[in-house]
Amino acid sequence: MNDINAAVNSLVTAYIKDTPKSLKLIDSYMVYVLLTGIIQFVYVVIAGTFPNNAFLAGFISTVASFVLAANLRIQTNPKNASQFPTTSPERAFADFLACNVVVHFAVANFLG
Amino acid sequence: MAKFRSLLLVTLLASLSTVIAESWKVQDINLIIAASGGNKKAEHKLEYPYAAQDLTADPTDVLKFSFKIDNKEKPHQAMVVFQSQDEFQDEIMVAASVKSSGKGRFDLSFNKADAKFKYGTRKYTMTFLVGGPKIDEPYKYTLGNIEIKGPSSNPATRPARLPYQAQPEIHHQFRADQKLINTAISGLFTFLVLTPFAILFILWSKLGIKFEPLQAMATKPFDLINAVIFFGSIAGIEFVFYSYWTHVTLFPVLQALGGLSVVAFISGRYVLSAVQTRRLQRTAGSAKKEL
Repeated sequence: MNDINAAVNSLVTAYIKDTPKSLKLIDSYMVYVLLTGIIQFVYVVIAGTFPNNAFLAGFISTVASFVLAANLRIQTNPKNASQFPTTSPERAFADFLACNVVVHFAVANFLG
Repeated sequence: MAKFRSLLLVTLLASLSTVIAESWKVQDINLIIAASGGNKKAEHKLEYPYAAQDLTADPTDVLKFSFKIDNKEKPHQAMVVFQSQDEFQDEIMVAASVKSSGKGRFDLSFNKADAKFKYGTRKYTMTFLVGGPKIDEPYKYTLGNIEIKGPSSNPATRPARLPYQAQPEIHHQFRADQKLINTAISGLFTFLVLTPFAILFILWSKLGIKFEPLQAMATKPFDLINAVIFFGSIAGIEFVFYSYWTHVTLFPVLQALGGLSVVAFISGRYVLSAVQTRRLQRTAGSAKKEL
């Protein structure tokens, strides 16, 4: 148990120390999206999927936002820079925005 | 030759007219009502247009009918039609078989005959019909009336007349709305779904992000305007989505999206390239420091 605690502690301190702020920003956004999706899912388990389109819209938007944020994180991580020589962080952010616009359009369609 | 032809035509027409003029010659019409044992109860020698009145028959009796047809052509159909003289006017047809000699007959025992004879005691009109293809006018002779008694025990009940009338109107029923869950629970979850927002802002505030670009932009009004336009266009796109959800139809939405996305694309290019130059300057600066 102590070992696990120590491992977790070292993981947390390493994360806090070594991760760039921009990535932490994205990480907290992903935590927010994940929590929102989990709460929606719990609600559906309790209440059923009656306005099915509303559930789909909400859940699709959280999943898609999470995936897009993950992609943004991968592309802006300085340690991955060698894998994306032509993709600057700004370019990645522009892609992120454009994809979000598309996702929001689909979600607005589903909201009904 | 022409004379011969006209002669032929005349003879043809003449023969045709004789065929049309021919009528049924029916003789020796005999109607006997006999008990089941064979004893004759009544015998009537009928001759057109005499009609026998007030005949009666018990349900166990047998009606024996015979006649003779004197025509060369034998009839296709020879029958007696019994029509009940009540509100139903049921018709029961009893066919007679006609031999090549021209003699025809049938024996009708009411016990074994059509079930319509068993709906209690009823009076019937008897009509004798003879018809065939070669003779145009059928033979029709109303023989008279007969009262046929119903069976002494459990008479059959007559099925009711089919009601050919308007059926009750069918009203279309829409499926009932599905039940929504209690508003308290959905309200609670609305609140719960919004709580991660608070978590997001708490986490972001803990990161201690300094919003440096604002100071940098203050020196370059062009960048500032661009940034404002860029964020404005993104917010506009989101607002268009919101109004698409609430009340606007697809095509106006697509037009608005087309305009806003062009603005967002152009301004975004400027803003992000400005951000990139700042970042490159900064890294260059830090690289110099390290050196």
